[in-house]
Amino acid sequence: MQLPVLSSAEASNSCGSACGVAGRDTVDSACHENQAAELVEVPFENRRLELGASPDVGSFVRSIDLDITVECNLRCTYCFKEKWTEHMEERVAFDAMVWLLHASGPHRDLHVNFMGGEPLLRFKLIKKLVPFAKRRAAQLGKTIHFGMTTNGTLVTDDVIAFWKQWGMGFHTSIDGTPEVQDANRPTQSGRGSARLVEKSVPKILAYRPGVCARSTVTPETAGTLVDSYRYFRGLGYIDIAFVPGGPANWDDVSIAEFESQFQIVAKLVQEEFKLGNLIHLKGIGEWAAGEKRGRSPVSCGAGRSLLLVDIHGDIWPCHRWNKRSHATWRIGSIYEQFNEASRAVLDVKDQTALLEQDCEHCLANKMCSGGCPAENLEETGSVYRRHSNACKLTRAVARVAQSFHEEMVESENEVYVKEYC
Amino acid sequence: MANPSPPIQLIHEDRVLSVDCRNPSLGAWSFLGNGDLNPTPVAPESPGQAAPKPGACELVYIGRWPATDDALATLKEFACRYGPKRTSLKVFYERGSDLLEGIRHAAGTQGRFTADFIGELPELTEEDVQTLASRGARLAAIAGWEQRFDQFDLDRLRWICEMGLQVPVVIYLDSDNASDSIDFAERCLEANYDSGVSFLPSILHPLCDPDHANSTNPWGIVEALMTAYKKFRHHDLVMEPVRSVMESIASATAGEASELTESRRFRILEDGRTVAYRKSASLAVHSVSLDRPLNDRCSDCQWKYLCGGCEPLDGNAFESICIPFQVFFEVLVKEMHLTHEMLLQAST
Repeated sequence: MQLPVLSSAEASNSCGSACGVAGRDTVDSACHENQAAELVEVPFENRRLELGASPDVGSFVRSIDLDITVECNLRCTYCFKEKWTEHMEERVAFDAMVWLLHASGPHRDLHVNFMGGEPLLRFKLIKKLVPFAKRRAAQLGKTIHFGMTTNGTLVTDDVIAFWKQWGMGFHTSIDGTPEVQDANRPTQSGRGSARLVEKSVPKILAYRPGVCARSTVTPETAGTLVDSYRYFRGLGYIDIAFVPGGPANWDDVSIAEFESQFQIVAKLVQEEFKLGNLIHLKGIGEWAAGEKRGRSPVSCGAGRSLLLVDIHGDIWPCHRWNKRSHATWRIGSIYEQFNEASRAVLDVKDQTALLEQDCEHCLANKMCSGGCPAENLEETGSVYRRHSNACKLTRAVARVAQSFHEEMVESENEVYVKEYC
Repeated sequence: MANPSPPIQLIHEDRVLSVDCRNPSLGAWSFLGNGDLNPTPVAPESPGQAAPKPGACELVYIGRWPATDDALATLKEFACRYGPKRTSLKVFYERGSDLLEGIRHAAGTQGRFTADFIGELPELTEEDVQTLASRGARLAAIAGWEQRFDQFDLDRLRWICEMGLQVPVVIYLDSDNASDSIDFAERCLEANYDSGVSFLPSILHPLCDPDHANSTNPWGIVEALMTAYKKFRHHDLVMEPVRSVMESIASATAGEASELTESRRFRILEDGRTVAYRKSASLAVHSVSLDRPLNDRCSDCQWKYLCGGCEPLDGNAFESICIPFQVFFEVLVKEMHLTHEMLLQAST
């Protein structure tokens, strides 16, 4: 299959004088869209890896998301991917590994996260790519750790054996009870996926008991958190993350419902702690860490030391960022060049200092790093401005986490104090 | 930007020059940098690099493996003498099957030797590759001299490299093949997943017949080297003479007689005799001696402390070795804005 690649004509179009390194006001999508240039297709066979397409100022690359496919066997209702059928050419995947080893400069511990689409659709490629990259890295005195984000429907004994052999990490996207899962994450043919996931989970947890169940919460499913929590616990998960998605779709009513449900889930988790069971519930640990740290966490790293290499070998700030409408955020291509100007707005030391909200006086300011820059861009047009509903949802989690933390510390819960304090 | 690479020390006369590669004014992040601000770091201390340590001795064995009893006895003697200081064993094989056996042997004795194997690409299984990778063995492929470029098995190279071994191709140049070398290097880089390429005069090929060394054209090599340094900017990890200079820096000790910075290089013959040499193991066999006389023309050379000097060869043979090195130091280093004066300045 011949894949197109964006040409340097487009890559070299940074925002020029209007959107330089420091201009926060000029990072709006409108500005970038105005600068969008024509996309020129370069035949696949003419491409050669360009090791010079790596940072010469700013942060070295330490982690990449690798879109080894954008094809998926599920059709999640909230999926942000635009394409559904394309695979990454094998050569591109291998070249991306060599590129990472080079672009990481002096850094020796590197990370690759297989993204998609569903990465396990490319298990054959993964089986070749992981040994290649790990051995190649070892010869350069480096190590590469591999992980993946999988929907859990294609996990077989072979997959588990391979994960074990190469020490791979991963997390599973699973939304909740079978009803929630089937509604939000149907298969390509429109059938539910809950039963497929249920078959895989015992294998996954037998390999890594601490693997996270990551649930995307929508306003429609906000009232099901307690049931979903019980379901996850029933499956054996001890690390659970409820992550509200698409803030623009929420309103005060659904946010209140989310908070009330999350409050009950937190109580259930507290009961577990009292019984001596360690349960990770996203938000709780983040609050405790913030208390300990006394300041905001470091933001996600997108566009700094974390980048995405997409199916064509194009470089983007992260896996959420390779839509057609984001063209001007494209940082370059492993086959052409690395355009520092395109990531300059993200490659700053302290992103939280650039946030446009009144974060200083926010309850959640020690556990929040300003949200997902890609989501911010989509919702508000600026990577440093969160949607007001996103802030409300974060504060809801923070309120629950604060009270959870205070109670656990006051009661000197041994498990909690040992883990978090 | 953090750069954990330690300063590199160069020995100049009786002084140690310390070059801090983190100094941006040098325009480089690793030694020389090859014009690349962010090259793959040259890290001789890396476990996978198999580079000799200070005080090391370098042994070359050319021939079949296992070696004859006499050669093995000599090898053992050297290992005992230099063992505590580590010994780098370079083994050049004539046959792929022997090479594989030698690799297995070295993987089992890696604590004692560091080993480079240069020879025909053998058949390797996935298991072999895993063993090699986990033991830090390093493979290089060679092309040129008696092997025409179109006889080189790029498919096998690709197959081995796809399993994760970094196999640079060392291309030995003479007047017949120098003009085709850049195209060939490009094909090699595609096949070896950018493991690197390197160019050397064919007189340095371990199996070279020195009687034919005059066929080497030093200026053809220079041209190829110049083009390669511009075109393949990111492979100074394996590119000669950067690689040998780096190893020299990492492994060199002051020579007793010549007071040059040098590795102790010996070739062990199949009959067990030992020959010392400076540059060319293929020439060493013709003058069986443990002395290493220095070419007169090296005495006044400003780069002799990095280069280590050359055998007393005549005319074209000497120039084939010396001129590319000279050009490298005189032209390429200066083009990269890393001058001898800058090295001196950096030391003060």
